[in-house]
Amino acid sequence: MDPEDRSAIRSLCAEDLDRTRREAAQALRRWDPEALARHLHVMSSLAQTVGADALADEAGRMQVRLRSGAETDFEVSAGRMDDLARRAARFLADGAE
Amino acid sequence: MTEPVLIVEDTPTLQMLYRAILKRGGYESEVASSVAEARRAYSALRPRIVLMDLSLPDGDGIDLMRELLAADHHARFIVITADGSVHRAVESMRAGAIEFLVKPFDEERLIAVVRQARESGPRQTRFGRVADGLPALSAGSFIGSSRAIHRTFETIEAVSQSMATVFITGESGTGKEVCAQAVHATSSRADGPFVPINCGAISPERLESEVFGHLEGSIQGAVSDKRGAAGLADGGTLFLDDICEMGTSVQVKLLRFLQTSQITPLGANETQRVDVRIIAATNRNPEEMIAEGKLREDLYYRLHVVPIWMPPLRERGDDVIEIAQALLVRFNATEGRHFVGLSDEVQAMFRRYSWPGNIRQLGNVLWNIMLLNDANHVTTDMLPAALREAGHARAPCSDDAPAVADPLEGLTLAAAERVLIERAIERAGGSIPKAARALDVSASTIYRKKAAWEETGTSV
Repeated sequence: MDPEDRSAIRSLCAEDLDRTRREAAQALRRWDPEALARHLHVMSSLAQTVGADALADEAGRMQVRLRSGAETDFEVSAGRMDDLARRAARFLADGAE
Repeated sequence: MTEPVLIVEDTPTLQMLYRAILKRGGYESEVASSVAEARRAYSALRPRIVLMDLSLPDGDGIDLMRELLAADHHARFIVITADGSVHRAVESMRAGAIEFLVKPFDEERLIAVVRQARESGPRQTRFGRVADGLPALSAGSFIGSSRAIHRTFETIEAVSQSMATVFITGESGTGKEVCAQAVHATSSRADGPFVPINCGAISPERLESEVFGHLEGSIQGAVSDKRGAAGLADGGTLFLDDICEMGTSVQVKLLRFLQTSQITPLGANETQRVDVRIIAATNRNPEEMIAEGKLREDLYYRLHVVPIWMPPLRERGDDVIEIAQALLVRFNATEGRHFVGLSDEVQAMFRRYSWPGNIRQLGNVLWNIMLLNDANHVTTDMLPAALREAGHARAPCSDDAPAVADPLEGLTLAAAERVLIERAIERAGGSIPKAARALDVSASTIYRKKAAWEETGTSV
């Protein structure tokens, strides 16, 4: 792939991860399961695409828990996912420069 | 210039990533970020290949794929998802996808899949012929989930690789030509021509020339040689619709053609050998036509090797709603409308109505409604008065009650094969070589199968 294209994709991915992280947090705060499910799907897709396995796993686990209706430790998982997403976005943004 | 690949994906990073990968593979692409955008782009671009994410902000990717394929079966869908469940993979393949990719996937894999999709032949030919004002659905646009139509699907699948002649019966407007197109499209002749002839629409004097061709000067008005439908269908399928309207003199020539695979154009001294599979159809009762002397019995038995019955719309349960939905999508594109569905009351009326004109009538009703109205839903006030009134009465309809006994229903493939073979032998007066010719297999094949049945003592 063209190095310029690769750099542009990393930069855009960093933005997408950051935006999705914020939107997932908002959906969780107001408890909108449908919106949260969509954001988790996007987070999982992005994470898998860039090889952020831990983030992909966390987002995937949260999707399963959301589907099953389990709410215990949801906040804890969301916190972990938020942290992983921040780190992934920073890594990508730094690499794109 | 080849049409661009349509990418249906709402995440900007993935849109850019897929475009970059495709660009590296030499493919141009366009992006749609939602179901609504995808509908517009699909209609405008007529893409050959679509990359589809299963999770979209305003709908489900599989539902969208079904809807777009119903409108135009030409495109090849490659589904991409992070949800790697087998269930979704199977569902998307059943809905018409040719490939299912789970993220993360190798870039080279995506390029290879797209290249393969582009280089493979068309799934089936699209026929834009307009009949009775109804734009034709593309070949393979068989829509329906009812048990009644699934029996038809199963028969089509069972005979797909055979050369056997197919005889389709059913009321007017039930989709006999669509059925014939599906038989052709799923056969090994799918890349060959599909040539339809409506025997009832051509005058008896011209029919022989239309089917077998003529040489210059052989008949009045013949200013040049003309290749007939049988010759044009060489390597493919000849579909003879309204076969019971064919005059007896042409029936004799058709019978000889079926027996020898040779045609003699009008005015010609020499015959030509052609390789054609015949599918015939009628909305009449062929046995009554034989009794009236209008249809040769030997021709009928030669044609009636594999019978397929097209059920009337009133016996197909909720298929009327599925088909109506597909027609809305099609007419939205051709008439510039934005209908998304039928109101609940209209759906209930459609289910109750008897649809004497079947799918053709349904298409005409919807087309009229969409020409005269522009709204999101078809409502009862848009329906013709006759349908509104009749739709209030209960029509005899049941997805569970078979109208005509299908002799192949419930049989295994082996048992169905035995029924067909034994019927052919019976029609051939017990002659196995004759039966073999009718079934287009060697006589030794039938002898072997009979021996195997006798040995195992199997029965149907």
